[in-house]
Amino acid sequence: MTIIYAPEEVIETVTTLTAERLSHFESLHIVTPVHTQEGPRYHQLDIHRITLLCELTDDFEVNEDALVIIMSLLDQLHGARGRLEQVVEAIGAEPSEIKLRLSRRLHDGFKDG
Amino acid sequence: MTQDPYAALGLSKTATPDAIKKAYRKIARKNHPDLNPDDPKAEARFKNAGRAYDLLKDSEQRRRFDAGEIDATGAEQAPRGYYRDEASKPENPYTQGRSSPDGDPFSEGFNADDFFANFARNRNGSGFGGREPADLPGHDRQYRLSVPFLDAVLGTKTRITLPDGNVLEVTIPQGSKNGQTLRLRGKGELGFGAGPPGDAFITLDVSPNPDFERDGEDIVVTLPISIDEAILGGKVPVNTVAGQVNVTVPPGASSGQILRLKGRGIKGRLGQGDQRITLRIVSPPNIDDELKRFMESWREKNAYNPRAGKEES
Repeated sequence: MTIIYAPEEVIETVTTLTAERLSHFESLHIVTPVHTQEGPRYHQLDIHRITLLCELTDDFEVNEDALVIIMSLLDQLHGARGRLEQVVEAIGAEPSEIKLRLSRRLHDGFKDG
Repeated sequence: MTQDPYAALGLSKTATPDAIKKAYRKIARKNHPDLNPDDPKAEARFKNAGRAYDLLKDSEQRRRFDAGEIDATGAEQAPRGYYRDEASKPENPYTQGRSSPDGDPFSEGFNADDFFANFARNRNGSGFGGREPADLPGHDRQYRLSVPFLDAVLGTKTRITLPDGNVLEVTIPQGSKNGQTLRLRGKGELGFGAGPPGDAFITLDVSPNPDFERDGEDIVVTLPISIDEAILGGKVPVNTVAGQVNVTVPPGASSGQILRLKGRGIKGRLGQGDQRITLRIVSPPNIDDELKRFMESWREKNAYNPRAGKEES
């Protein structure tokens, strides 16, 4: 069962987080809570993300504009990695002759490029 | 094309210099081409906002523009331009090796495979040929919506109340999956100039149900049965996503045995799934003397070993 957290629980868990800060992150659209009948809710993933946002803000003094850019790049990176994993998995499920042919092609591409 | 620099920043003529700077940075950080490699509209927003900011950040230029002494283009410097703006043109000398000598990709030696490969390579070039249109669609918005398990299975209509008080009507299609994204056209942020609003993307967060689990388009449940039901068989009520039905437990059923209710699963894109029922035999809460004596006398004559071949000697 997935655990979900109310805003108060998130604020308590992430020590440097305040209600103002959380709503600021949300107004920047870098944190998106889950809409529920009981109000906004968060997953563990959101708590990790918010922790990272607080660290970037406090420890590295990243400003608001750079924060939005960093998160955009980070999300794109993780999205691309996820898709790459899917491709690798799909190739892994293919017969070995196809895997061999693909790895040769990748190797040749690497030499030529 | 002349365009209103205030519209490009989503502002009115009365905006303060600080608001202009903020609006520009807000658009730039979201639409920078290096952050949106596949989105020519984002690039167009970025360029428009950049040109507008170049004009309006200087108070004297802004005053002259407001007074009508210069127009939005007249005061502009030449747009910086990118190599790729012209790189995909047939006359580009650097790409001649890739197609035929006279620049016509369809002339002698035309190879469909190469053509499509080249086409794909050029596809991400500027989609607007130099100048960006002034009226660009607004930004898209992302939302996450919690959906109860059965609502996702059966489909429903619901609504999201946004922080600004607006309400989004959302239709959850039958058989929706956790993590699935719905698109509501025109429900994003306001457009630039006369451009249409962006879209809203709603990612579904399906909450688990204590009774039902989903496996592809199948519903998986565990059904507790009594000893007598297991031995004698019979009709036993079981919950499905569409309400209660009776399932026939065959005589001599065992724990872990799976029964299948055809067509009682999820109606999804892959067709109609089934409900799979895993049986679980539950002993009576009190073992009375009658049952105990019966089992003892039964065992004397009919003992069997369900672990045959699995025991260590």
